[in-house]
Amino acid sequence: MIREFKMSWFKNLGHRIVCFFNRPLSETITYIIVFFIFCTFALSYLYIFFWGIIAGLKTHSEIVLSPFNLPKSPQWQNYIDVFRLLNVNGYNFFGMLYNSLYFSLLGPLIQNMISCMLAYVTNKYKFLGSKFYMLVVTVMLIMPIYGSGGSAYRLYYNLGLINSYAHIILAFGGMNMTYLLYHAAFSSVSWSYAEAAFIDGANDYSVFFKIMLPQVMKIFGALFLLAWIADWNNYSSALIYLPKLPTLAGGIYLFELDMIYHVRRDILYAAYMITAIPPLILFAFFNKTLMSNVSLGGIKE
Amino acid sequence: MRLFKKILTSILILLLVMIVGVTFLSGCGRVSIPQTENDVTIKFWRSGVGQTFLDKAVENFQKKYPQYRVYIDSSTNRNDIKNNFGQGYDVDKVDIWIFPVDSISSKTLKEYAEPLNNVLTTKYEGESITIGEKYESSSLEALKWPDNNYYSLSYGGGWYGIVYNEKIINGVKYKLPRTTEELEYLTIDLYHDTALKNMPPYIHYADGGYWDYIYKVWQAQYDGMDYYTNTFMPLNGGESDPAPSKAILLKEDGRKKAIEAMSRILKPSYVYNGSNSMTFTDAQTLFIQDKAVMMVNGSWLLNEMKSVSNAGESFKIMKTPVISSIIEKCATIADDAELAALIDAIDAASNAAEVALSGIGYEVSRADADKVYEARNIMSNNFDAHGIVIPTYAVAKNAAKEFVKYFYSDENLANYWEATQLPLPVTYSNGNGPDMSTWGGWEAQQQQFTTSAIPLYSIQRTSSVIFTAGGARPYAGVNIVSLLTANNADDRADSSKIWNTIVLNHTSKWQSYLTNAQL
Repeated sequence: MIREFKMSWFKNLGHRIVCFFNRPLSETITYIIVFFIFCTFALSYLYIFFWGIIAGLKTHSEIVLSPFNLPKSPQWQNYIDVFRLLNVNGYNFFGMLYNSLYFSLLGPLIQNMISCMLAYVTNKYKFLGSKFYMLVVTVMLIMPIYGSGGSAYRLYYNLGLINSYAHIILAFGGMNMTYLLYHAAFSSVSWSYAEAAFIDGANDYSVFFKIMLPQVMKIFGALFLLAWIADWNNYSSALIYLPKLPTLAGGIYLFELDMIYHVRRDILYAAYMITAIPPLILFAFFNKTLMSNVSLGGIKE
Repeated sequence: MRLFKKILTSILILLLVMIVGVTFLSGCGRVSIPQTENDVTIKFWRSGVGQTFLDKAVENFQKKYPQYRVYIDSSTNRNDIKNNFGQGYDVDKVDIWIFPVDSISSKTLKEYAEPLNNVLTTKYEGESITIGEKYESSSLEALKWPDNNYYSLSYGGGWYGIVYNEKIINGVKYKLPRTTEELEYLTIDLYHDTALKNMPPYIHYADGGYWDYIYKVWQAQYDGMDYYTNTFMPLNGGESDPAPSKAILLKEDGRKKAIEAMSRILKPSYVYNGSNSMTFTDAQTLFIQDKAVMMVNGSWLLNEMKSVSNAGESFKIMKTPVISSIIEKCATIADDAELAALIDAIDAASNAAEVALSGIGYEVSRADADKVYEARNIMSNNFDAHGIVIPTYAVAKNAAKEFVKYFYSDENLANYWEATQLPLPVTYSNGNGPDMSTWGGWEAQQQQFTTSAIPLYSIQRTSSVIFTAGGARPYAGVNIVSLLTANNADDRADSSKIWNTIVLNHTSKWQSYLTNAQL
């Protein structure tokens, strides 16, 4: 089976090469030039990772004195020392990883679910206030509200949500751009699905969870992943609201100050590379979901 | 099989919900250090001084006084104190701040810091003198506020100066400069030395590095410490022009002379490329790896860099060269050569009275000799900025004071000096300083400055409210070093342009200074 797969892959490649060179010359040259430009671009991004990994294998002096040279003697110990030295407010790498996963997975999940359900209800069910809710959200998004950070912090502090895992409760929102996107998505989902389901004896909950939600699952997935990436990298909110429960992003920021003071850029770069692994793994598995087109359909009208 | 999968999935979901639920509920109560009269929370700024000395002090204090418990919360962010101190007990639960106090305003410090006078008047058990008597007198005087209270005490810090590489400036080919004119010639010679092609005369870090601690000294040298402390910093124009005096702020004084001296020694080609955008540890790493000859730095330099290099014997701090334009104020000193000869005599004497009024190459009046003696020995330091502060609203105030008293005990001072080998402006109760027999040349030099230098402190207690609350700064926040050393000619400025910018900034902002200072 593997042999057959390899054979078909080579046949496919050969076919592609033949097709490529069957093009007009100008088109071939254009494609070759574009290919090299994109390769250069991609290599420049890859070089950043390569440089980071290599920097983590140097000593601090080597990084400062010869930042672009290869290490004289690779300091593999640096990547092990990260787990020993990376300690922010009593949390090590795994503690911060847990905090990151807790806030960045759970938060977007709750936020998307709440927004999705709100959008579904206000879009598909007619009741007093269903259209008004949409109006309120739109106005809130348009109106620039500056200077609310201080009062928001005070409110969270008084509610005991600063430096607390209960801070996740703030994800129970629903008045944001995500709501508008789901609202638009549900507008393109026909109610005929639901009618057919009602006829078959389904109730409102079954219709939502078994019929409507799967229809927007691609959007749900993409929005969840985007929110996950944004929350994973969000160090400013973590520093303001969760300084004692550091996430990886906030922790690395504080760790950077510490390592610069302690003259250990080598450990710092090793830490950067290690903390980049989780989002890289996520991207490796879900890049198609992130970048694929969304299409809906299924009704024979 | 399907049933088994269903059960397994349900168990996994239940487990996940339990983990999340437990985590969520664990966040409902705030985890905190006990807040009782016997639980002392110390917030400590981790810097070049290190934390070993404090860990030892806490450990020994708790052994000696088992009724107290001490918790250390350390941070490298020097703004922590600015964001918390003075906010009241609701926000600030710290009992002792061991932190840079120059981060907070004088008004806040005075309002919310507990006076430590009774700590200074205490004799620690078994000792013969009070803690205040252990302090070097000018240091203690610098910590005293106009209301005769001491709102902070010093836990460390050091002296600022031009650190030089002894392998280059070793007295053979290159000698230590005595005046700024000699420093200028030294800079030029170093720059043109082909053997030092990849080793420019200076390196500093972003925002001018520590150069402001040098040109501040030159300003004080030119104007005299009395004028600097009692006229310029309080902006006191006298009876005819009471403080705050705009005329004093805009006057062409030692600041202008200092900027002129800076412009002669700092040019883009004399400075390591990229200095204006480097972090301080990167600049220091390059410096101790022999990539530049001189760098303005402080006593903590080698302690801070010991993980990179054990180069203790190759570096020293030079006595800050005397600003050559001081001869404009000295009627009996004709030129720079005579000034340099007088400085040699001053360096050989142990106090001002011992300086001979005439010798080889000079003949001066007593007034001029005293003025130059003072100038030669002025050194910037930040002992006052590294402060021990107890908030007035601290719960464990008395326990905190007991810890501070212990900190200055002979027993703890010995541990402090063993751990840091850094200068502290105090002595043991027998009047002696630390045992430096195991110290290197660098460390011993820093401690010796404690007895010989005339200190110029980071925080001037006599500062006008224009500076402390009005938002004004003596040099109007102009980044002199960046302007002198910018690679781009359009970004560069000479000394007169810099001075004019300072005057313009002060003139345009004077009203806002007054408003901010509520005058």
